[in-house]
Amino acid sequence: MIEQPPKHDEIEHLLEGNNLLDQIQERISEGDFLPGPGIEREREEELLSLPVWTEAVRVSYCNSYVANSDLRDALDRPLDALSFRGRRGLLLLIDPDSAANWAHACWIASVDVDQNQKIRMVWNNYPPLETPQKRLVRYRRSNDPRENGRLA
Amino acid sequence: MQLQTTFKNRRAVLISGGISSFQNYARYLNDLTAFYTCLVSSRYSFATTDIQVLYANGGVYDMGGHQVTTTVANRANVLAALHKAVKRLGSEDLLVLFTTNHGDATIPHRLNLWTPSEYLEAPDLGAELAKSSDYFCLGIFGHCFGAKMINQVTANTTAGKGVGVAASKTASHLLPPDGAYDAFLHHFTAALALETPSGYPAAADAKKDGHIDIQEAYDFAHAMNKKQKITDQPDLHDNAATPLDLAAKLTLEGILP
Repeated sequence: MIEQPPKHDEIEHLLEGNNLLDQIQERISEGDFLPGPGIEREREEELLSLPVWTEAVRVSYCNSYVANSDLRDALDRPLDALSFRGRRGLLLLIDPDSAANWAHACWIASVDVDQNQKIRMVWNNYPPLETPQKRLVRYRRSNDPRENGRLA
Repeated sequence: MQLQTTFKNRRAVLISGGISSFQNYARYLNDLTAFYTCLVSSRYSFATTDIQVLYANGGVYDMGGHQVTTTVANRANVLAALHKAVKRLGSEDLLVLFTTNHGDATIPHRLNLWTPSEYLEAPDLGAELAKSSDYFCLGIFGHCFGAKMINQVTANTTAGKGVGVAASKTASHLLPPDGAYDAFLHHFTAALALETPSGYPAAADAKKDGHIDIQEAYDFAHAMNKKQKITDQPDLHDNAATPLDLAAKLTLEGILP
């Protein structure tokens, strides 16, 4: 058992101030993302039909800025398609089925903090790799009445 | 009802890998503990020396009132445990396999083990099961895509002696509302034990014969999953001449007439 990491106010401010999640949601609805390392070509068609953005989607973010060398999935495979050009990146997990064990389809996104906040996305069947220094924190949108944890 | 055959030797191998401490959610240890507790309960009385538990990075855990030393759940240890369990099993013996945690839809199917690079491929399991020729085998696969392990049991054990149960053909899910267990495994284990780990009764003996066969346990777990709107896709097969004939007769104690 490991403790959940605390939220990161600066990163949450970035997520909220720039409508990044709205952009990500739009990209998902348009199918505008690349396959990650866990996606086998023959399974793409089968799995593409599964994930949609619903109320059940759970968004998590890495609790510190990441570098390109941090972009790996839980099976320690590189997430090259998420590489960004700036110095700092955000790393997000968008999980449409958080009650499921892995492997199941999810999206992983990077945000290039220093280069116009460009978003890069893959869909994968494992979440990002976590380390003691790079942990995923569940994000609760402050303007979402369903995610009112901080208002309680 | 009297059993037609009472097993002479019964062995069990319980496996939960976890990938890393970040993906190894607490419910998987609860799944193992509940099943272990069921096996050593007065109802089934498995000998603790006949149960091998492989869990994450190992350690000692309290399971059913016993201090259980678990083995690191890596590929080498899993293969060694299977080898030991299958060795010298006879025609009236039973091997029980139980898995939980993560699994993949790769071809061949993989059960994720401890550390990101460790996994057991389905044919590895089949190869170990095939090393002894004539014994009863029950595989209970709770990990994601666990249905892809079933044919390793039915194809690598003697006809009429292999049964495989899986939580799902796709991803398997946690038990609502708090995710303390995996849903299907929780219900299946409760069915076998006739009570939940918390002690609430589980009315799984549909035939009211005093024994819980695998078909009954499966039906109970399937129905509970449906009631709770769990999106698992459970699966059950055996290698009897008439499909599911063995599943309706196999219990953890022996074979029903």
